Amino acid sequence: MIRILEQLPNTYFVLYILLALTLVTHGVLVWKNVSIAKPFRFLVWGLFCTAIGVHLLHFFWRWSINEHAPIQSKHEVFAATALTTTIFSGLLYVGQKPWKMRGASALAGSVVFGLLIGVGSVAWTVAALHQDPKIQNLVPALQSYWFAPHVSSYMLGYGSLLIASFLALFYVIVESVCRFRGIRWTAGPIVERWTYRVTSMGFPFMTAALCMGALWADDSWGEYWFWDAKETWALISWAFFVVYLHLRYVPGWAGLKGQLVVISGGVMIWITYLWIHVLPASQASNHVYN
Amino acid sequence: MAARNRTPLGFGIILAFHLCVLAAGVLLQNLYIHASPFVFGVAANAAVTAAIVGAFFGRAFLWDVLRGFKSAAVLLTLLAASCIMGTLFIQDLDLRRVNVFESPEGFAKGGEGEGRYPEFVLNPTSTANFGNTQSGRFAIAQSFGIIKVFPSDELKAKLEEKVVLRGDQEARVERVAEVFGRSAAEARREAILNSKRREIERDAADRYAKRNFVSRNWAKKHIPNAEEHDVGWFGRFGLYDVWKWTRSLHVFDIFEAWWFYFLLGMIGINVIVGTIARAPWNLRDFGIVVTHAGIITILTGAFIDHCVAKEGYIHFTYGKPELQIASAIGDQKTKTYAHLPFQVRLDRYATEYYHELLVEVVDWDRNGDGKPRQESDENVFVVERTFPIRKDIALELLDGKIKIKVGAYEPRVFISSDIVDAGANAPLLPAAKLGLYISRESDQNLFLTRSTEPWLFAFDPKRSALEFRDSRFEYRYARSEEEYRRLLTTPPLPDNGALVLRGTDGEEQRIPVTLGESQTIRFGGRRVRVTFQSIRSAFAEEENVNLDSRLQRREEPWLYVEVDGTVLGVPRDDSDFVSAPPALKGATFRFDWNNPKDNGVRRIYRVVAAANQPPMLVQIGQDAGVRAEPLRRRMRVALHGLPGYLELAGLVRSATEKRVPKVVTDEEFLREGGDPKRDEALAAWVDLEITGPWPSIRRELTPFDRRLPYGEDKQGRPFVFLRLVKTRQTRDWFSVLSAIDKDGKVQKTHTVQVNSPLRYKGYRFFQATAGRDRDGFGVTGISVTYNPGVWYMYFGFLLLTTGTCWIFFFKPALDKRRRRRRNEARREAAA
Repeated sequence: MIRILEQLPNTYFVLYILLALTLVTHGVLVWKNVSIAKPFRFLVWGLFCTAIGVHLLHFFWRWSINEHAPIQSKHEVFAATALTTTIFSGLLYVGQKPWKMRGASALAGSVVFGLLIGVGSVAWTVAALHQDPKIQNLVPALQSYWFAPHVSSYMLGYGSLLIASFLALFYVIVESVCRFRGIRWTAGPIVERWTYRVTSMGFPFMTAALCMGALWADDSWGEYWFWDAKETWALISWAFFVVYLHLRYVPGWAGLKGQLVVISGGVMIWITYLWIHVLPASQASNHVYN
Repeated sequence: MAARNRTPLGFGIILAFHLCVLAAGVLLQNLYIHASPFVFGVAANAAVTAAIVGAFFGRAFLWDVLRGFKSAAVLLTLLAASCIMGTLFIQDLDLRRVNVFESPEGFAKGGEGEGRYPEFVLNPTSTANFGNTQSGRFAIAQSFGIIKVFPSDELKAKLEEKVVLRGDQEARVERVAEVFGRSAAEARREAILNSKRREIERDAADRYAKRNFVSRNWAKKHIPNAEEHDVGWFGRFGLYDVWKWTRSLHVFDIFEAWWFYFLLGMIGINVIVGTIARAPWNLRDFGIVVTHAGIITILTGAFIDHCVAKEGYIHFTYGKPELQIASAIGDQKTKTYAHLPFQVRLDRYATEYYHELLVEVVDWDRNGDGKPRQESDENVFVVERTFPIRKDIALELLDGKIKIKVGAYEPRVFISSDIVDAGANAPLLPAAKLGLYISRESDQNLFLTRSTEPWLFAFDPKRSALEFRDSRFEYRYARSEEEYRRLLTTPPLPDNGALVLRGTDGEEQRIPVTLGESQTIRFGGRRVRVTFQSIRSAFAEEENVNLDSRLQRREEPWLYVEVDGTVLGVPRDDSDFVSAPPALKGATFRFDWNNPKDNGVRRIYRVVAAANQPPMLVQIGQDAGVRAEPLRRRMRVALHGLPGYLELAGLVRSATEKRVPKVVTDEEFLREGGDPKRDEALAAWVDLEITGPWPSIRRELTPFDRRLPYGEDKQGRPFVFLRLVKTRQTRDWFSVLSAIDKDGKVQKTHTVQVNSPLRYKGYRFFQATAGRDRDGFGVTGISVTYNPGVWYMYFGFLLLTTGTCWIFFFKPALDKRRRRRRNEARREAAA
């Protein structure tokens, strides 16, 4: 039984790859207007639900054998990011309905979502599979009721905002190529809207996580904010998305320039999330535990 | 437009003026006039610049610029940029984190860098430590203003003892005492301090003069505290003010910088103005107002906090009563001490560690490296796996062949133990683990390191005893009561050797040594009084010989004998005769002590254990007879003329011995006293059930139990060993703190853990750091905060979170519903 449960990450890894391929295939079918396109949609949904179900099963199984929420070791955190990436991709997919598009844009939309799953979820799963899955003990500072809500909010926030910056990167590449070649890209505003939708889904989680982090720090260290390296970088990445959300209302900033801000926000998250150990200030950080 | 065209010119003029002032300042300073005008020049120019800039933008700046989304974006980008800079530009971290305080109680405490730089920990009761302040790193830290040292009165007094006043100064002291009617001691003390102060000032002025190419007299006259002005290269080029000015920008601590606070203030104004001017004031969009109100609340709260809050550190040392009580906190930022309205006392401190289940699978034919096993090899464990312990969870081993189920798990128990914990690595036979230490405080083991404390086995003739110089340490296990008694009362060692006297005529006389007794002998026709004082190493007398080299030398015991009032040291070497005192004309001495039977052993330290008897330490010496006393963890022994300590690191009395674990409640934890130097008081306990190809077993396990064998191979040897091991990972630190009011009454007691502070009178005491001091005592760092306005911040966080959720979750949902309704209405209207 245990060995079966231990194989779950490999299972959802395969399922994510299949899901990405199915999404693209579905796009091709819609584009070519093949008659099985409609029933094929059920396969997409089935795979989607199975993959998320398997992932959630693994998540809760680990939670049941852990004494704490399984969002502590690198393995667990990467796996959780894969999960949130999938969830937000799914939500966006449901909300934006690319299969309702016509012709080549249906294919393009599906390819974007295939890339989101294929690059996002699969890559995070691969990252998780490369880490030691051993259950780890919590250091004293993490033994708090704030641990689960704070970290899971960040997982949700990071997952969604990294999707947003990925979409923005996609937008910027295509847009600049089109501008260079002098082609008019009609789907640009659609992708821009998708970026905004994902950002608006993840941003409240980022904000809540930031606030909860401050509350936790107050509970654990007696100060809600002390410009610790990780805190500061969390604020920096938050500030980038605030800038983006405000600049959307400034004429001329909604398109390419705004997307560049989102990309830099993604880079900031990336640094906060994975490269914080490299920073000189992190040597004194309270957030570096390993 | 015209103004814009003039901009470069205007700025060029200002820049040129700045450069002129700079040059003039340098010139003036080198002309021995202190260059303060330079600062005023810069300030005046800054004011002019600000006025010009202000004129460019006009009055409308506030409403036209600050209300915009773009200005919000710019300000936030500036914030992000400064934050990035703040985490990248860091002064030498090691120095930043070191603080040395002296509290009003008169003792010093180290800061966070304590563990890393023990030389920074000042203990003003010892002048030797004060000497460390002169060391290089400390001097650097001090010059950065990171460390401040305040010597206590006690230390000052100690320093005074070392100061010798000159003759004329002494005369002056007497006169002062006479004229002003003071006590001589007081006057003397004052004179010493004055002389010391003058000396310091003179040195500082000297240094300043040398570095800045000014005369010493000028430095003395114009720079009252030259030490502060000594700024190295900047000072050398007359750029002291530039240095001061760059320092005021706080490049290396941006989060403390005035301009950073200014930026935050601008963001606050921007948020207020923007919200008032632009926010859609209706209920649906009210989330926007709520969010921005949250940000303003947080910024205001931070400002209030900046004005009101207090914070600081207390470092308690568990095991040193004078360092277990505090009535002040040291603030790391201002490097000052603030008094608490009450006292805080550390009652108890302990570290709790995580425990893991270590499973070792044995291949009795091969070593761990896969090579065939040799007779002498011990490394037979092929597979070693550790499992974190989780209740009710089965662990699977060897592809599920063996299943281990943790039935019950108590992470915090006390193991009742009369002497010492042998640990899980203990052998299966009666054995004792001994360490020999040359002093009580130092951990300097005679066997080089702690880890080389050897195990002695009761029934292994080769490894039942070890010899160190003239002493033997052995472990004996009595299987019967009779044997136990015999081991406790073995008669003393037989032979003390003899003193051999040889006269010029070849006459030899042999006197058996009986220590401490005087006897009168006849030699060469004279009566001589001989007293045997002691047998010990000659080098023990020489204080200046390095202890290590003394111990490493192959020394021989000398006989110290008093002959007619003259003390002689007589070496053992039989070829070496010592000249006798003049009373015995031409006679020589020899210490004949070459007993091959006892191998030179003069003392035996015997640890005697038995199944149902208290373990004892028996000391057998030629001079001391036999003395048995109950065994304690650390006992005093003599190590070849030096006072030393025998430490018992582990004791196994019999293979069947079992310890009883006791689950600790919080109350008991408060009551029980722990050993300040060890963390072993707290342990874990599990109840395991092991199933597999062999008959299942169910067993309780503690870290102090020996390996639990399971299964067997063809020769009947265990297949798997299980142990509960203590990891190095901390599970929690416990500091039991009591708040004591001015009447000395304990008002509140709380076990402080990392996420559970002591709260009293608005102050909160948090577990912050933990470690050990140089003497091995547990040091617990408690951070103290006083922040009555924290609820205001909580409210701000609530507003911010609610507001964003409102904007991005509730409002879109409401919009969607409205759109659906409108569409329906439109459809109905169309129908």
